[in-house]
Amino acid sequence: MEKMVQLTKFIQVNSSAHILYLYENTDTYINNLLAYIKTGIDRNHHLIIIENSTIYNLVEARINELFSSEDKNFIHHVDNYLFYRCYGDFHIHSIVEHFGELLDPFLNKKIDVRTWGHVEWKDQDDISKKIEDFENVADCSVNEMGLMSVCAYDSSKVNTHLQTAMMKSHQYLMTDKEFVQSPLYQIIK
Amino acid sequence: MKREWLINLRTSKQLTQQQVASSSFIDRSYYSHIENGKRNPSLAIAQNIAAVLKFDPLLFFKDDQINNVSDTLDLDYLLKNMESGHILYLYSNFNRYINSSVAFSLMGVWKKCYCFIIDTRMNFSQIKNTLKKYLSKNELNKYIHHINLDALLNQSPENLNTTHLEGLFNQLESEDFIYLCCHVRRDYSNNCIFNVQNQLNYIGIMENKEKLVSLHAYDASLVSANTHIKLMRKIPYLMTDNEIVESPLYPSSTNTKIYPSLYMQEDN
Repeated sequence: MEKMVQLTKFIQVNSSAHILYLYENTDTYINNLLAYIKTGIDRNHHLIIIENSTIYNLVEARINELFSSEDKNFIHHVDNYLFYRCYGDFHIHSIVEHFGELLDPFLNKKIDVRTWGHVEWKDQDDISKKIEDFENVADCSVNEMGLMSVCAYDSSKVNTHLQTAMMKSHQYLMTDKEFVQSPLYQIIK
Repeated sequence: MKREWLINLRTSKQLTQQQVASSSFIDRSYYSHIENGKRNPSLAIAQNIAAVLKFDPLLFFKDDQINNVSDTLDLDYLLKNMESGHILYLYSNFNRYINSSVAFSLMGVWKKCYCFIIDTRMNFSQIKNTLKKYLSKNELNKYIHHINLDALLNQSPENLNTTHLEGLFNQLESEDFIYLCCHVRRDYSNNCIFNVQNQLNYIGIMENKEKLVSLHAYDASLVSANTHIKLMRKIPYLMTDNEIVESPLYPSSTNTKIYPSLYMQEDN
């Protein structure tokens, strides 16, 4: 049986929970990100937040209000513009490799870590297929590493074809209001 | 599993199921299902019940391990056993859409239900040609009816010429069941995504929802995820080209449990 960990005070999920978050409202998105950070820190988990600088500036202001200096040592920001190569080609293997490099220092020291990635991209051909493939690879990585990971997307920029494909590679689906198990997830397992 | 804590809480306050249900604005049988663990309340209903019995609404969600394996359903089995209800179908492959419309209509005819197919003339012609392989001319004429999608979409309800539809509906007896296959081709803005449904309300086809089985088909590449989320909250079943499942966001779903998102839990 898979190891379960607390996501919030009310919900337990698989230790390798891969969560798809489709947000509609930026303010609510920030509230959910801050709640994710808080529940992680409450359990002494480090947080890697892959976020764009505009949103992270807003988040950081709230972090400064909500968390102590000691708590803030658990929070690590990575610019998503560079991480997801928003300046050019959405290159799956480079992104996955970079993800591994980010996590290695934590995993090697057996430090618990949770990730939150706001996935954005530059307009390009076949982006839906690239993201679908990327999330399939990411799901395998998350499972192998036993990692809790949120992949956040602006729901107005994702079509339903991609959404249903991603509901197959993420065990959990979150919206601004709801958190549910994806009924499509086990089908490809 | 029974919610013993909820039963104990209610009985300790010497309240009946009916009293709690009425004060929570739900009917007694639904409340009874919640106590017996057969139904899971939405957050709004959880809050109403919690206000009556004075406890934290998130107790409904406490200590749950969300690790159940959900079941996929079989469309034929579902339709055979479904007397009324709606299915959201997001297709990626147009030929699969045609095949699914045919399968849906055949099930309707098999159950002696009138089938209304809302689509363009060209698509309907393709569906009808396939149905001809399986149905007699009499069955086709009696049970399979076309409603022109373009006419529905391009006219406001008050301008819609419904003469031919009124003729169709006048044939229906009050006990007749209806199968409705509705193809929506574009991603409309949030305000008009239910335009077709509004049109149907206007002409009266949606009045008797207890006798209506409907398949709402959308081209998945043209519908955005935020529209999809809204549709999943309204329609109980979700179908793709390969599977059909209970919609995870449909509030009255029997098998899936809807938890509040992270910040909503922190607020309580």
